[in-house]
Amino acid sequence: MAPRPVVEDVLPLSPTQEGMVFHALYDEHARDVYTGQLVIRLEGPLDQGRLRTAADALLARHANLRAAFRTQRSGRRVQVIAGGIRTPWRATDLSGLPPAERQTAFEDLLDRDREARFDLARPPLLRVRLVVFGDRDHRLLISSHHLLWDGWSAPVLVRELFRLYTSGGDPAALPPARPYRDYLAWLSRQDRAAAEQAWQAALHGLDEPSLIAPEARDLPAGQPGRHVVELSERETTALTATARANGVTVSTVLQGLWAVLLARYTGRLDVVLGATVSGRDADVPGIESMVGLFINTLPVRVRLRPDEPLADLLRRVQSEQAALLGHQHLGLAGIQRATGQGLLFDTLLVFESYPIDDEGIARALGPDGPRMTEVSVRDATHYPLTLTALPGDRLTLTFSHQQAALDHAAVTGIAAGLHRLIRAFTEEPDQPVGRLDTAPHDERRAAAKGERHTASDDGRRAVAAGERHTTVRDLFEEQAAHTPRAPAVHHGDTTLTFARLDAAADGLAAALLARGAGPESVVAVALPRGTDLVTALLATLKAGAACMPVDPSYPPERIALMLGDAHPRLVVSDQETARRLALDPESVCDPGETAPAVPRPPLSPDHPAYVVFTSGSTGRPKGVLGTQRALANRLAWGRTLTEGPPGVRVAKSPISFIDGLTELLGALVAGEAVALADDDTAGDPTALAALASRHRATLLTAVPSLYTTLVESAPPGGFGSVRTWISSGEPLTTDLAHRITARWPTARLVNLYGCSEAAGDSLVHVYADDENGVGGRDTDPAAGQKQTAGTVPLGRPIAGTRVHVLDPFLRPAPTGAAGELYLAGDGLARGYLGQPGRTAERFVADPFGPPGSRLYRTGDLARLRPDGTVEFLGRADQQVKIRGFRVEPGEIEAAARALPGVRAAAVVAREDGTVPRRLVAYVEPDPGAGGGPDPAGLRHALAERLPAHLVPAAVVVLEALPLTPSGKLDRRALPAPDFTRASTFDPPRTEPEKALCGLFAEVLGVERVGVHDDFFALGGDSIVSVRLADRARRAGLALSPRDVFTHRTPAGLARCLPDGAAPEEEFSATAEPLVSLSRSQLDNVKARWRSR
Amino acid sequence: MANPFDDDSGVFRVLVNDEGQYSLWPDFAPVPAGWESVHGPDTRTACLEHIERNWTDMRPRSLAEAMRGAGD
Repeated sequence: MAPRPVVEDVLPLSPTQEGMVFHALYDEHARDVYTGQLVIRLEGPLDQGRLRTAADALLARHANLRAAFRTQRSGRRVQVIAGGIRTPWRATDLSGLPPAERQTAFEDLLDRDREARFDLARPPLLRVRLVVFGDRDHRLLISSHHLLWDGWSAPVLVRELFRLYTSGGDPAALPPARPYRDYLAWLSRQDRAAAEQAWQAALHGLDEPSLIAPEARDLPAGQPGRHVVELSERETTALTATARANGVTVSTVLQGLWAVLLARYTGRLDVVLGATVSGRDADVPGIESMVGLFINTLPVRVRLRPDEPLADLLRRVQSEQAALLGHQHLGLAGIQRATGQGLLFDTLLVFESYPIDDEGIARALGPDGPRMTEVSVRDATHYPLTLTALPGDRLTLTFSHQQAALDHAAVTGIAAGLHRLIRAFTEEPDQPVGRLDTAPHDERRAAAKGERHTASDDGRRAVAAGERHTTVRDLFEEQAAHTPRAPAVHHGDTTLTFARLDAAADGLAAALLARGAGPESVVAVALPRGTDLVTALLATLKAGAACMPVDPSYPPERIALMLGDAHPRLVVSDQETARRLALDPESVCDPGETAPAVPRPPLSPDHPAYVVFTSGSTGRPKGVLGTQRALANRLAWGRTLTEGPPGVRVAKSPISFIDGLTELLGALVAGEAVALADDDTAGDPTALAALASRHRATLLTAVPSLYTTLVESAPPGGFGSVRTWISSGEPLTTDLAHRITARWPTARLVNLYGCSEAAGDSLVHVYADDENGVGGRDTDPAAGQKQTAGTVPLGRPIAGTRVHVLDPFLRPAPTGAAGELYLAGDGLARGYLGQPGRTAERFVADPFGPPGSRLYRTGDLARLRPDGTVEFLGRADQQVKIRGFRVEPGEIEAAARALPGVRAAAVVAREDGTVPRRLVAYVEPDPGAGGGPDPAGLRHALAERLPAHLVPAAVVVLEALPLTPSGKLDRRALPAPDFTRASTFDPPRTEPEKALCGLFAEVLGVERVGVHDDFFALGGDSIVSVRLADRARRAGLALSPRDVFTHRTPAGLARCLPDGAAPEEEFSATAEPLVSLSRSQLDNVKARWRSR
Repeated sequence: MANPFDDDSGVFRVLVNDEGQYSLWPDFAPVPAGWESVHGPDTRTACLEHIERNWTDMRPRSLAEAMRGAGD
């Protein structure tokens, strides 16, 4: 029985111990990765009793090996040094087993041993086991918690153990041990403030961690995998010599090359890796022979410049690190606290440079003792990837990885990449970082040929079929000739056949040609949704002009801006619209105009087919000029979206967006009828279901935010005729995809990805219910992305399209690594209207396509699966999607700054609680303007200048915009808008009012709502209005989303309720005319309704 | 995410292809086949200015030539 331990000393923890205790206690039931094993093979005569005495003497010699780790009541952690304890000792005899089985049995024993956690409160955190293989063959296993000692200490300990063995446990055989306590005392004397300053400077402006396995954070630590690369002697010599010639250490070379590799895998040029340093500061006397935990894991930040010569980069890294040498004592946690950074890196580089006194160890056993013939260490870290470099005649690189985070194939790829970089360094140390050879040759060849990324077979067939049709009018006219009597357009009670539509469009096209429109000219179409709109779009394309659809509900100021940019030859518009928009009468062409047929000028696929405006980050919308080839390619491919006999496609996307065009024209060129939805219908599940049911619609496109509503609120049996659901505009979560397919099990769900710059759609993925999505990512809520369970892949290229995911050096990113998505092929637009500079920076030279071809850089982050499927990861810039609309906050910020009394503005997309994502503008008032600006007034002013989807749900006036230490907008510090300030809190007077106030509060996520509070002033929008109407209907109150727009307050809505209970389900879309609304109010209502 | 085309302090070139289309191009990367450097190395701003000054007809050259031919 061991004597009861006595407390000898109480000591603080070193920073590294603090970090390790945190990981050990983080999950006390999981395995503790910091349980290490040291195995020594001893051959020759061995005295077991003597060895055990030596182990006890070793423990007696080093107080810090007898430490327990406890948390004081104050929360402070301490190490309590116990006295009077012995080394736990066990012996296992495997000599009875057949020799061939002994090693396996030993491996099992090692595995079991490693699973046995140390209890940090019970010293000592080490145990020894002697395993007998035979009379003269033993394995000594020393297991310990990493809290006690580091790698450098191990050979010191082994030598001392052997000396004590030969001395029979007499401590006098060794000079007195220098206590760990001395080191802790030295630590406490260091200049903390200076170190904090140095690290703040070193990490200044760093905005993101560098994570090679961003989804691994919450995975439990498992048995690490291992992959070893051993350099040849020649390679090792060359590496050492090249490093020396350039004035850097091999350790620095590895850090620099690792940073280059990290850039490729993270898509970032400002990267951070972890590096373990010995922590044995020469200021502490005798520290090189001390036993304990001295190592420190520190961030190494490397800012890469693609044009910098590699050798220059390495010298820079070395001098930046040298400047931090005196400040390493702060420790990782201290650095994180001082710099306000959280997680910084998930890869660790360990350069094992500690001395091993092999001879001393051998001598320690004496001439008659056993011989140490093998030694091995098994340890691990919690990092997803650790690279341990062991110098020697042949440099050994051991890649140890958490297998749940990074699989073996990924690690092999990373290791090969590093190996190639080492070779590139020795061959040509002065080549620019951006040109370093990191990709295997076959990968580059494949990328050059586009092999990894070509279209699916379906796509190829569609290309073949589409090659004859390089203009949109050819596609349509062939279809019209083929099925003249088939229905082409349904709108309200009107139906047009293909023949009628074709004839009407021919008549108008002749009028357009007669008035000077034709190839290379633009014709704007500003008409309400109806058959005239379809005719006008087709007529424009028949005339060979580019059509520019204009949504008449946009603010006239905005429309004037767009028309001013595009200089349309003509505007097809009805009298009323033309008057309201104050169009130049000279340029207006009525949709009913006709002229005698004239020969049409020839039309090249390179002529433009469409002009579509998208949000522009610099404050002005930008017009995309798309080609005939691009649109025809997209439409011809789109025929494949229908499987089986022709059906009916619902067209409901706003027409001024590319999706509005492709949806409408896509149906026609596929020989299918278009069921044209009105603005009111587009976002109302009940009305949309009625439309789909009336026309037996088979295909419907919506954005995920509308799908959420449809799944929740579509009437029973609604959309039963739909065979294909198309999702586009926003990332589709696997959760939502699952709910869509569960609700409509016989329909298939297709995810499309694209942009106006490439004819609307470039990637396609058919969702299968059992697939796993792209892993969850948690991001800053103020940045507009909340934690999602995973998203459905974007898929593979459509016909005539190539796709690349590139790293910051414009090379194909490694499979599975984040990069930026680039598109190439027939879909590319000519560029931005009248903006050559902007065109040349987005549509760039293609290093992988045919000579002279171009790439469009999307600004989207993505990664490639091994099969070429693209997964969406987010945005590289500030652009956000609101209900599927592409929004550049910069454009809204510019509009806000232009308002009187505003000095600065920031616009973000927020998701607060359960309220769907919405735009919030933060405004800093101009101090000279006197009197703070009125938020409601500012919002109103923005609504007069911007289309509805760009108008913020709330304007918040702040004294000053919060900034991060590096001077950037601190998004996390932006407060959620306080909508209650708009509330009157007038209490409800009747039961329906009471119910409505409660429902308002629930869907808007506010605490309480008064009867006169305005739905929109409280942050409501079209999506939320559908939710409100749905909940009201369930509560027995018959309200439509449209009622919410019209009546806006609980009191108003209560007044409009019919007497008696609401019908169970209201299946009729058309409400009474809105006699109480003026035309512009009505347009405003409609505009708000837009949901793609 | 760092995109080399957005690097305000980077060194760039201006490339042109046979169709007279322009591309901004980071100087560190090899010039792709079918493109020729017509300006640079220079700052990003200077390269964009060069493009704004010189790319006055954004039609592909072959199309512009065909249209001129048809107009004769």
